[in-house]
Amino acid sequence: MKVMMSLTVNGKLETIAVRPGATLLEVLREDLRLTGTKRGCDHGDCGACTVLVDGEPRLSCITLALQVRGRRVDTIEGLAREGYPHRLQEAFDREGAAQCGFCTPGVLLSAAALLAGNPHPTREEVRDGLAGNLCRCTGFQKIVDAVEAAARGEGDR
Amino acid sequence: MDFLIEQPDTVEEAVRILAERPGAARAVWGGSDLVVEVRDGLSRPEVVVDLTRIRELVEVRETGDGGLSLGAGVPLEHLARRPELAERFGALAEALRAVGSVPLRFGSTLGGNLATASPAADSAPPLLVLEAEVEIAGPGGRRRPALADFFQGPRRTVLGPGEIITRILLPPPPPGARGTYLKFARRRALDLALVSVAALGWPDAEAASGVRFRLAAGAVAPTPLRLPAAEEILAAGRLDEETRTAVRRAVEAAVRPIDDVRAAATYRREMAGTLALRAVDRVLRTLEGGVA
Repeated sequence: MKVMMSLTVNGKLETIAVRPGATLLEVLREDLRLTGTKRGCDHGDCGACTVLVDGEPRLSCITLALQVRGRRVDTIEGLAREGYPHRLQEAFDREGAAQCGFCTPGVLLSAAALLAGNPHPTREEVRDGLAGNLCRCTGFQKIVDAVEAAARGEGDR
Repeated sequence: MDFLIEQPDTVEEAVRILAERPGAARAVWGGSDLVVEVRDGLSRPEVVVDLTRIRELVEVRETGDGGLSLGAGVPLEHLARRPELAERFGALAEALRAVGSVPLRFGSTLGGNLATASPAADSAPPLLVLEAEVEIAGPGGRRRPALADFFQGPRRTVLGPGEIITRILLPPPPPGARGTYLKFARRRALDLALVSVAALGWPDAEAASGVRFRLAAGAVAPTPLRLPAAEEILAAGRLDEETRTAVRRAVEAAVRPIDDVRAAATYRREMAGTLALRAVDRVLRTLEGGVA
């Protein structure tokens, strides 16, 4: 038996029928076809499924969809505005901070939440803010470099 | 995952639903324990009771005597960012920042961390040295055991059918107290403690050493553990080499660690002593006047 729920995804009000046991990740990927949010470990360990709920980074693979009823969810698809990449996306491109790209959506959302609350973080604060996002390609240095570059305003349009 | 979900607005309603279906209904907040258990087939609840809609569970209140009442459902990251925690309950603030990662901390709570009752729970050692109480609501009303009496074993607590944690009560710390939490793990984030120690120290003219300590350790016994023998040694005399050795011996004698994939019991036992001394040194350095 499915249950009706509404939530705002990337600024758009969505009303959908969900299974009570469905996770937010499943609803985003399978019902709303927003496949930018990745299923990595599916156990809340790797951070690939990170999205923002009311501006706070949350792990969508362990969050039940019905728990975000009426809340505001932002995914990687909503980060660019009017066709222009977010300054974090610009910085990731310029610094070579993405390789295979699987962790990148989660990393970008964690970084966006960090900068929203702390516009000029220290390197240590960047590392702490991104500690929940595992990357198996880059060794993390370029990711941290890119977040610092974005915080300095490089790549601002 | 195949279950029904209930989303009550009050503690009483949540308790009623949980009590009606003992064994078949489980409470959930962030899902970092329950959703993972269900996905791995380790538990098969018929009903999941979502506690995130209950206002009472997200309240933080001054108790009027210098203590603090923490709602069991306040996200750990929200607690970690509260200035009154850093100022008056520093050991707890440090421990909360040691939990998992930022997104995990936004989706986890003290109620969940304590109810899961992992011997490695980061919040437990600081709450033990702060002598916290746990308010529990159930079909028979509310009760308030000391946290020291709450844990019964690995993943076992005094919570009965239909009972949930509603608040964690921090009594006012002793005047001038400073605390710390040290976590020893293989990596700095997203890892469980191999050993953890919380220490709280305060000036006390009646102690021979001039300073009194409370110590607690995690991940070295079936439950998080207070270390009373080491506390007494620290109160009894100056912190010289002899006292340090006695503290180390007392900690090593109190812990009952296991061998597992993450570390050997002998290693955990020695590290518990090392971490306890480091925590004591750290507290002494931050105490005003640099006692001892």
